[in-house]
Amino acid sequence: MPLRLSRLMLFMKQLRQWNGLRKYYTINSSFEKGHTHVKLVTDYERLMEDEMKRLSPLQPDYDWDYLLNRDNRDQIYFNIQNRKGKGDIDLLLKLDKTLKSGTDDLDDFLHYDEEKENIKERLWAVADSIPNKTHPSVPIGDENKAVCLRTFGEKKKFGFQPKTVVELGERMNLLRTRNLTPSSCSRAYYFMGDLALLEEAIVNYSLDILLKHGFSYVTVPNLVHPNFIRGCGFQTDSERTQIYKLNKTYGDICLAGTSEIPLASLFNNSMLHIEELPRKLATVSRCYRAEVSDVERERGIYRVHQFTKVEMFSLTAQETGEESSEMLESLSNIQAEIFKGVGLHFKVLDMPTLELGLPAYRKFDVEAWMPSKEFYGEVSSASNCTDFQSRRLNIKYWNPNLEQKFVHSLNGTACALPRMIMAIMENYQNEDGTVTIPQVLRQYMDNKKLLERPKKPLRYRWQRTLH
Amino acid sequence: MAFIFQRSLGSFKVGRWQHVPLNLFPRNSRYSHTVDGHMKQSALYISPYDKKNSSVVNVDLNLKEIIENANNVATNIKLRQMNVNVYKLCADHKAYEEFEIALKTIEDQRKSVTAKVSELIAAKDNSKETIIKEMIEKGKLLRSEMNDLKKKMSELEETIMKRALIIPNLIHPSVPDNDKVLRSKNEDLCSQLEDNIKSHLNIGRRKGSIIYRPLSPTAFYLQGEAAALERSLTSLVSKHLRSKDYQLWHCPHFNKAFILEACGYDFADHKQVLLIDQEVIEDDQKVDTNLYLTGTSLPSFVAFFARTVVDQNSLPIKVYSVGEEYISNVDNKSFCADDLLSTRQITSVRLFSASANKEAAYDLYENHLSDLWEFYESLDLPVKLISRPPRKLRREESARVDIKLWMPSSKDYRTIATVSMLGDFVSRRLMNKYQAGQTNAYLHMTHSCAMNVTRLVAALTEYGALEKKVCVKGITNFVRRLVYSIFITNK
Repeated sequence: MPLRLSRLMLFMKQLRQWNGLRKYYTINSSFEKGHTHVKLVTDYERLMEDEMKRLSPLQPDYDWDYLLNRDNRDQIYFNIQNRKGKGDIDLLLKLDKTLKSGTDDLDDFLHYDEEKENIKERLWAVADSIPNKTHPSVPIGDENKAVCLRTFGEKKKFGFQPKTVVELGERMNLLRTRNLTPSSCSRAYYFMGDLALLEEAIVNYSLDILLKHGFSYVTVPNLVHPNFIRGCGFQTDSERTQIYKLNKTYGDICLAGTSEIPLASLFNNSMLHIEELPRKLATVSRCYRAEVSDVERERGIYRVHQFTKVEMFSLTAQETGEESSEMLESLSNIQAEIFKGVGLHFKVLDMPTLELGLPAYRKFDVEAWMPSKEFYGEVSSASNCTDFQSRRLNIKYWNPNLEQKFVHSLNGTACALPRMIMAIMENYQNEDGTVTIPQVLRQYMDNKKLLERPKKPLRYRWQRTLH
Repeated sequence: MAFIFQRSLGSFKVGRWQHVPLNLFPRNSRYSHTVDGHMKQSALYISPYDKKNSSVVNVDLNLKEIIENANNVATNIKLRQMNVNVYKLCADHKAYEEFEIALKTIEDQRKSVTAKVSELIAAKDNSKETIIKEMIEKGKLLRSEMNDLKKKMSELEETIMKRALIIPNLIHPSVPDNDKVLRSKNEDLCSQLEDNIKSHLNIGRRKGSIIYRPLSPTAFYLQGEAAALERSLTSLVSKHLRSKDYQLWHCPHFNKAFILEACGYDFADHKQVLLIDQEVIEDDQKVDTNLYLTGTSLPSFVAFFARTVVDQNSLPIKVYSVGEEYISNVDNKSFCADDLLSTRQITSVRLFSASANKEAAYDLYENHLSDLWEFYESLDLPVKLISRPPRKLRREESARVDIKLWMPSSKDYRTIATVSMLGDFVSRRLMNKYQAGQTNAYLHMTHSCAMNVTRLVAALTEYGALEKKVCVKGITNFVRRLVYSIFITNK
């Protein structure tokens, strides 16, 4: 009798899985009938059937064939060691072995079923923490091992001591960073007048370049469920996370630290056709990060809790295996075009293993010269995540042989505004405290040539005492 | 003359706030904001006996004027249909004054006892030792009485302040008793529009330009035409505002509780504001606790002016900001919004002005109205300018005008912009002052939601789909022009 009950439970479970599959094939068959992808995924009434179910943890489709193949153990182990040491391949293999070993003892059958579920859960959790593979060219080690791929422009020489962006902005009454913690938040800032216009000009300039390169402009939500953040390979529940969360009263909602998350989530559970690839999307969004830093040179507007960012996101096929690598080169070239256009001195770096996040297969950083504190500051980056995110978010495509494959996803920052402004203002500053506006940005700023103190500046003083 | 509880605020030390952030409430608990006609919790007024928290600002509610004009204030409250009893405040205040007199009497007595004791001790007369002892005992008794009285006064002061903090702004004489249409344009078009107009959501879904995803309640994406339209509209309104001498500002999206309270929000009500469940720790100090996410909004402007004195020559201040705004009053369980009119995240354009006095503030209010009306009139759509009655005003508003646009699918006017006169309501709570000669006076503020861009995108998507009617062709062309002129308008 207990055995029968157990079999019944198993049958129920299979039935539930079968129901899931049936829905899945409904999507596929309607796709074969010629419906477009957009129509499929915007069929929100069908998706509304079980809202909460959709917010239950996504079922990632890990590359089990690769992960559980003992021949790959050393390769995976050394990859983990080279990349911050997070993840445990031996534990994964051990859990797999336990799971496969099964039991012949009929008495233990019921308990085993329950235990099996627990092991399965652990197996998935361990698999989730194993980083993506690493491109063979990526240097091994910390940031000092970064390989400089290209350098553009030269360090600007000044006949005077260059000022910081905060000094320049505050002298011109265009920037405020002081005494804002009590009313707003730490590291809060206001861009005022022409400085805010410069920010808008950089956004428009970057978007123009992206549209020229075939990107589609999309607006994105900034409030996202943690599952989608985890689906992109970011942690939301570690002790000191970078991600802001809303109070539980509003449900389980986080603030996106980068628009890569909502952009990737746009394709969640999508089935694309190879002809639709590569997809290239661009967005402008506000990013919220709880990260802090004690480093002196990162004070001011270098590392802040909220900033505007123009983001590039791309999905490619993996037929030749080179599509995503080519796209990464393309994103990097676009970044170079943007920074070269504004006349900055910068270098493109192939980042070493310790600098790669969990999802990145390869990452190129752009570091621009910041003359006042004399350092190269990271102003942009582009990452190839191969199928790491698409396996977690279930983003696939049909190839011409009607095989389903996971897409490769890539993301890149076209420009992160505060750092871009910092680089421009510090490099284009004049001895009298004004800032020359780069030629390419003038057309977006009513042909203004100079950032200077307004004729009628907003003069104010902070009241130190309460009386 | 402003009436300030100087004594209660005298205990603050300069710079103490820097490392003692407001931490009014335990996490994850709910609070009822008003109890027995006064606030249960306030972030603006904190009792001097509160050992854990300290106030960042010195609130000046002009109590003397409120009490002198209690009847007017009561009428104001009645017109707003609010449940606040100003006469209780007056009674409490009277009791407080009586306590003050009593305190002074006891203090005088104690002083005279102290003087007499000193005199007797100086005389070095051993026979009067018993009298001295009696006098010292009397002094101790008086001191104890004083302490008791001070404690009672402090409690009463807290009640008075919390009662006074919920008293709304005075109603401006221009406010009508009922909704009053001040101006309208193309009203006759409404009846001529097609009957079976699909909603923007249907149109957007068909075109793939409006996409819902279950990322969070009502999360949506705009792509294609709708995304281009949103960008064009913000560029267009931005250009219009700059031509009217408004300065663009980029403002922070996080605010603290006292800023929200000063702006009329009930920060304890989770349906009014979004609370961040996160602490930020820098240099082992908690610098950010109880942060609220507002986005581009009135608090993001006034946070700049909190505790600042502006130079008179910098007035009037005319600024605007463009960006995301977060609406908290959204059903958490609904993952797909019915339309773009009720989503948690919207794109909006906000205007803010500050001036020296009532007259200048009224001029700015009129300027906001005319500048915005000029813009909406140029859209050539059915729009109305409606002055709202007292019962529709928010606590901080002394007058408000809404700009409403006809939505073809729902067949009603929906608010697309608002202009609010705030007077010195906010500035008195946040020490927003300007320097007038040797003294400082409070700023008078005007605030507008210049454009709810997301709503306008929704409306224009519907108007853009009306192709059959001749009368709306111009509108369709306008939408097309907007869509295809993306990023050109800003050059």
